[in-house]
Amino acid sequence: MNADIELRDVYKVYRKGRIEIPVLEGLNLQITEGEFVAMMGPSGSGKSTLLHLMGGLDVPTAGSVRIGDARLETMNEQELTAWRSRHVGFIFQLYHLVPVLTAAENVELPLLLFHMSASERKERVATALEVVGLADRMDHRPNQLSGGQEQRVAIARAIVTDPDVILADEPTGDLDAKTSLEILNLLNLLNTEFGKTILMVTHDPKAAAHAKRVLHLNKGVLERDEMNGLFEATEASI
Amino acid sequence: MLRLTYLYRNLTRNRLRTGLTLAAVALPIMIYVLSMAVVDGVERFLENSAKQLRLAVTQKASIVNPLPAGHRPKIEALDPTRTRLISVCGLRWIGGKIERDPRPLSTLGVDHDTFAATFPDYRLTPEELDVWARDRRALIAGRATARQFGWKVGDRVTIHPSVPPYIPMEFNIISTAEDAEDPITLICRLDYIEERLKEEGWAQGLVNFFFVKCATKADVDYYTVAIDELFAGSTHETKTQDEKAFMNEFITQQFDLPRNLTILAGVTVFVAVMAAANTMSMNFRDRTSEIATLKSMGFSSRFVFTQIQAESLLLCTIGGLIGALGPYIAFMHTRLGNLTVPLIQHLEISPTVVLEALAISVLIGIIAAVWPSWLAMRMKVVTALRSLE
Amino acid sequence: MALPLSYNWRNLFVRKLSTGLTFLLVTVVVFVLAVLLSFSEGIRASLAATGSPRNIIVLKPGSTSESTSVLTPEETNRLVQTPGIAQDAHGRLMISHELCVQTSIPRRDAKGNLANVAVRGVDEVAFDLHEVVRIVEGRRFEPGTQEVVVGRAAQQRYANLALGDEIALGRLLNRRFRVVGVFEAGGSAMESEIWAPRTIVADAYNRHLSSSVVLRLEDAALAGPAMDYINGPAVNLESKTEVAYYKDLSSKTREIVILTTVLITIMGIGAVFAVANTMYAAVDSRRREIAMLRTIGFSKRSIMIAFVVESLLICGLACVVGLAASLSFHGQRQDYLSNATWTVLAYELKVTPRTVLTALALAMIVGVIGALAPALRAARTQVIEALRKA
Ligand SMILES: Nc1ncnc2c1ncn2[C@@H]1O[C@H](COP(=O)(O)OP(=O)(O)OP(=O)(O)O)[C@@H](O)[C@H]1O
Ligand SMILES: [Mg+2]
Repeated sequence: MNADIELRDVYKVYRKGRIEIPVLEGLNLQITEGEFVAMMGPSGSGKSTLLHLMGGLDVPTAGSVRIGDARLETMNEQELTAWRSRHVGFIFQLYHLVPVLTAAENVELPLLLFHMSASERKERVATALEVVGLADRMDHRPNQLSGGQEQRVAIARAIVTDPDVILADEPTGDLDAKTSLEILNLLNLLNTEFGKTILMVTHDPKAAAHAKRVLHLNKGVLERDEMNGLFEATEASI
Repeated sequence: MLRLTYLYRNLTRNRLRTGLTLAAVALPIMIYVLSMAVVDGVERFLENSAKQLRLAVTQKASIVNPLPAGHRPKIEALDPTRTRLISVCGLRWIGGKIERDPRPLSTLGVDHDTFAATFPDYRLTPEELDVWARDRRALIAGRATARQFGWKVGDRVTIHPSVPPYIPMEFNIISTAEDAEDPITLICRLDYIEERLKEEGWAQGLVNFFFVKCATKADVDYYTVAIDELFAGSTHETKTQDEKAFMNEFITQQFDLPRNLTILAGVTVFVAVMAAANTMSMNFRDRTSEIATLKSMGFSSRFVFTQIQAESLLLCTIGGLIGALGPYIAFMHTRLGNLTVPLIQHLEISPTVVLEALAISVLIGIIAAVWPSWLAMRMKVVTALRSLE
Repeated sequence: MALPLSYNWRNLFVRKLSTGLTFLLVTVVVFVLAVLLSFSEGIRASLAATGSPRNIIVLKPGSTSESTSVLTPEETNRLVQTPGIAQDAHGRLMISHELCVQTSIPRRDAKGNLANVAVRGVDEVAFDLHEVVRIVEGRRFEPGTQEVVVGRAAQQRYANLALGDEIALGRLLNRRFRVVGVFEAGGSAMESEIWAPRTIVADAYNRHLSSSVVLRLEDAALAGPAMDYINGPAVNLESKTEVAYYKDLSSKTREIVILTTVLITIMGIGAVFAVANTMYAAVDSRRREIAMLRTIGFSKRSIMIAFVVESLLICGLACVVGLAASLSFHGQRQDYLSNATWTVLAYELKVTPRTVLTALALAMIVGVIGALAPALRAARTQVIEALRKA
């Protein structure tokens, strides 16, 4: 199944009483399956908003959002919910792990939405944790993990359902440089080895350099859309 | 499985809060159980009264005014065949105390020949009835009273009547009426009292009321009117009611206890709801981000709704279990059961009341979670995530 | 250095729902306490108000109350010799023969439910002897006529007892008596009674023996010798001071007081847990704030006090509202059928200063105990750790 992303004339306007706050103003964007895209832009430029629209957490005021065969703007809350569980994985700046569940249980959580035997779930969880390199921390609770490890668990949770798209909102925002690098390399791995389409919001140019393509959002419109040279990318990872 | 784990861990996440809430729910439920046990006792008593197809005949102006014992043959004559009107038993209130004990007794003198036929709900054994018929000093002691005073069958007790003849009288306890509906009253033979009245020179041949056992409900209705008509215009007019109405008159005059206790029980349930609702809303506050994450992962609104409901249900049911089983065990299986309780004297907590309390706990759980689970259901992930940034 | 009260006050509104629910909960508990107390206060007040230490009530030995007592003329005649009996203005001994009977009268409120109201047959001397009895409307009955005076409580609680109304009394309910007066008796049990001329009552009920005799003494101090004389072989009857007699009657209500206490204690403990729960949550959600306060120099004590004050604010307000709500019950009448007298006491629910103080004490205790452990936790907050933790 193809997982191209296409946004057409997307508008998002928030309303505060009588005042209208336009956030996205006629945005057009295309992302091909398998791309690793970074998105930058000043605070308040609408990055998170855009991410939420692509993840089906919110609907545009106007315009269309197509992910693969799904036309998100035509779907209702229920359909969006069901769609999310299969097609996207979210990664947040603050990880948002369930503190009372172990790493493995946190990763297993989204699998509950599938009809899947316990053994199969277990297998998948193990694989996902293996990918993020935390197979030995399965039974730890979030408060027994470091920030970087927590974010890895969150990544494992995002990929365990084998989604087409991974949406990450400042995934390294709370981490130090070294840990950030590990996380970015992990995302890279997911992109190259597993062919996941990744859209990552970041304020950090070094982080953005890991992506093959960088979008610059400003005041609700795409200001720049540039490809990163292979050379720069490798340089940054050194 | 994971769902249950999650549920369980949520409950144990903040043990202190869970513990405090359990207590804050259990205690009102305990009050509920205790109050309703009293109300229940009264109701069971009245229900039995209604089932017994009995009439209470009293003096028209006041239950305290005596009636002549001679009314009995006249009432019996209403149905000589004894098919519709089965038996008539005269009763006289003696009250009484035992020497050097302030606790008042509730003793009744009865026509011994018709007592068993009129009050089959005392469920005396044939052997007991045999002794009852032979021994003029026979006393049937209500089991709760017997336990309070430490009496057993075969004991000899001396009772000082509160009414004429006012002299101490000796009785032999022949039964503690283990299966009787009424666990309190002491029953003795009226002929023994009469004998003493005669010796002491008091007026004889007076009773406080007659109880009339009828064959069917229709007969109850019929004789309610017929007996009063029989004595209308005489110097000893009567007022006839079915036993339930008669008993109810007493009970509503005792602080209206059943009604007031029911109100109290309702109010305490309200208290439990607030305690539980408070906890659920605090839990929700603490877990906003978590709920948002669950929803972003594709968990439906229904899922988060049921998860919160389930947690609240579990919490309140456990609280209810503690609150209901606590008094149940205390009153049914320990010495606390001998405590005197107003109106019904002896508290019996029936499994029905316990089940009722559990059902109410479940209800409390649902109500307590209404607001938070509704908020969770309606929560916009985007807004929730934003408020955390 | 204490934190300003406005800090506490504003914090209450940060967690509106939690504060509101806790407030409501304590309000209900205080309300229930006040209403339950007003029951027992009402009975206590009316039974305690009855009786004078100078009056001695004489009953048949063995009888538990006036209703079950019967005295023969020979017995009552022996009482004349009792030492210390007061004399009225005309030099007559103040001895009141009283005849207690009952009648069923429908209650005003419920669906005509009948209550067993006491009818006391007395002579004129009774009005002088029972000093608390005062006619407040109309006049006394004329001796030897079919007239009655009714107590204020009875009039308010039972039907057809207004001035000028006629009521049926007597064994056969065939004698019409006219209500010619209403009396008050300082809120005492007698206010639940109907008083009528003794000879007429004796006739109507075909009961010519007195139930009790009340003697007025010259001085309360003479009660001891007088009672010794009556209880002794010379008279051989049972005597008590009126005060003691009514106190004994009210002891039967002790069960109700115990029940009330048990229920309120359970509810109070429940409320403590609920308040503690709320305060713990408040402390937890303000760890960083507390750490900040400690960093800028607030002492552990002032932090503790702040949380206790916050809890007391909730409970204090709840107490005020709960008490205010319970006032709506003040003055309502309830029936209490004594199992000793077989007559009803139409007592008034009373919210007394004692009720108010008890409720206030309960609210404060709940507030303080509920806040103590959480406040301790707040004071023990590890500053560095709390600041570091996100
Ligand atoms: N519910 C809302 N109501 C009103 N305005 C909103 C709402 N949500 C977002 N906005 C506004 O939309 C704009 C874009 O917000 P968004 O979170 O997408 O920015 P961002 O680019 O992610 O910023 P940052 O880098 O700080 O995360 C902001 O100006 C914000 O105030
Ligand atoms: Mg953002």
